[in-house]
Amino acid sequence: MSAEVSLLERIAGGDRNAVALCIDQYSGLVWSLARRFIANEADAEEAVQDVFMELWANASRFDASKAGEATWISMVARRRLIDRARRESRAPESEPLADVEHLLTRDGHAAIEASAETTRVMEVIETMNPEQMQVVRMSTWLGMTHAAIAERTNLPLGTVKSHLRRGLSRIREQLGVVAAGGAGT
Amino acid sequence: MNAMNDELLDLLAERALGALSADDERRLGELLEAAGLKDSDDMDLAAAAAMNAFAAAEAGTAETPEGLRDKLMADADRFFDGEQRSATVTDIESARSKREPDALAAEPGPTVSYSGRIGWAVAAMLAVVVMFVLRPGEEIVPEAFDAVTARASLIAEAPDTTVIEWTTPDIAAYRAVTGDVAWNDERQEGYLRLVGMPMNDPNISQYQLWIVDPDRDANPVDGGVFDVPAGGGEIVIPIDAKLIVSSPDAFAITREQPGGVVVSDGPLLIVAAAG
Repeated sequence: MSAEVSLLERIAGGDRNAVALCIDQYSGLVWSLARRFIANEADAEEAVQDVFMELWANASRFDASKAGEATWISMVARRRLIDRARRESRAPESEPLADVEHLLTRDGHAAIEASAETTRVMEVIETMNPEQMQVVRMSTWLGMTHAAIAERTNLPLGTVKSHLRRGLSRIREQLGVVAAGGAGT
Repeated sequence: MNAMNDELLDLLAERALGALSADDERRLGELLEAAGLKDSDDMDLAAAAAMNAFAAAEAGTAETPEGLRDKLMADADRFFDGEQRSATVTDIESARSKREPDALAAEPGPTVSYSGRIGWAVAAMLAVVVMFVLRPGEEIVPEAFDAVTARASLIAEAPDTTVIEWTTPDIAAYRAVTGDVAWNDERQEGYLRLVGMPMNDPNISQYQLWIVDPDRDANPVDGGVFDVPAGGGEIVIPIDAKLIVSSPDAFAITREQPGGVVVSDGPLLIVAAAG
């Protein structure tokens, strides 16, 4: 188990130096996620600001035994972005992603890097059957609704839900394994 | 996790994927309670981890726009400096209340810190209210389903109930908050309806409601403290005014230390002001 204290734990402990480090390390990640949900750049910036304010207010809730820091921050961002999309009465997937895909590049920030946790999660995803992997990808990455996935894949809605529940359960179990091994960040 | 059945896991997955209906949310609450759990973010973490894995495999990260880092740093400075200011004032008042608890109303206090852009009547009124002289708030316990029903009944059955929408000062995390306050003088009953209010960790801070009623007192009345759970959905919270309120001009919410404060220096996060 690594003894290194995470940035979020330092922030929760009142370490102001960790605040700037956290912004430098994760603003690229949060910004990239925001752009997947929000096409308008000004709105996306505002959403990123909201996410970081929520991170400051809730840093003490981060539990390194359950998941890595990047995953936890992504969870907070994802919730906030979904809530925002819902408030604006549109489903997250209704923003066409094609027009923002060109903004995503492997150059620049390395916030979404292949950490041990991300690598293990990808390995779990790759062991899923193609149908389940497609459903998990459409939901978590493309932001499609269950109904839209069912329509696109010609699967019954119940099967879509079952794939997602089982898929997320398998990933959740892996998060616990990685975090217990100290490779969660 | 052993206590989780398929239905519970389904609903947690639905919530993590942004597909939970209001009925499902109530059912989820029932199942969590039956499983002896306050909540579970396991599926949310799994969904985020999957999203990150696909991002790492298929995309990368976009360059952040110029100036965003400065905005984030400025927000952080306001957030953490604000917390320190509140703690300082709270500490002073806490010590003062222990020394002479009945003398608080006669003492001048710190000016309400107010950096937002509420350019209307409540701003002027609050500017001359130099002190919140109140007892620390008792906790308001959100009772989502019952409060929703009770609020609807109040509005339907008591036509003199006032419903005022929230207005948000320029604080990034609260700009998107919507909802309203429903208040009835005769019944001394009211409800906060909040949509998109950022969650709080009750171990660190709690929201506190203040009721501005100049007919009763120059100082705002403590409306109690409350918590906002994760999820950002709509919540309805009953108002627990500690004193009789005759004709409130405004309601305001601050974020304070757990249990609330006797004196607050703000900032006012959201405000509902009568016309």
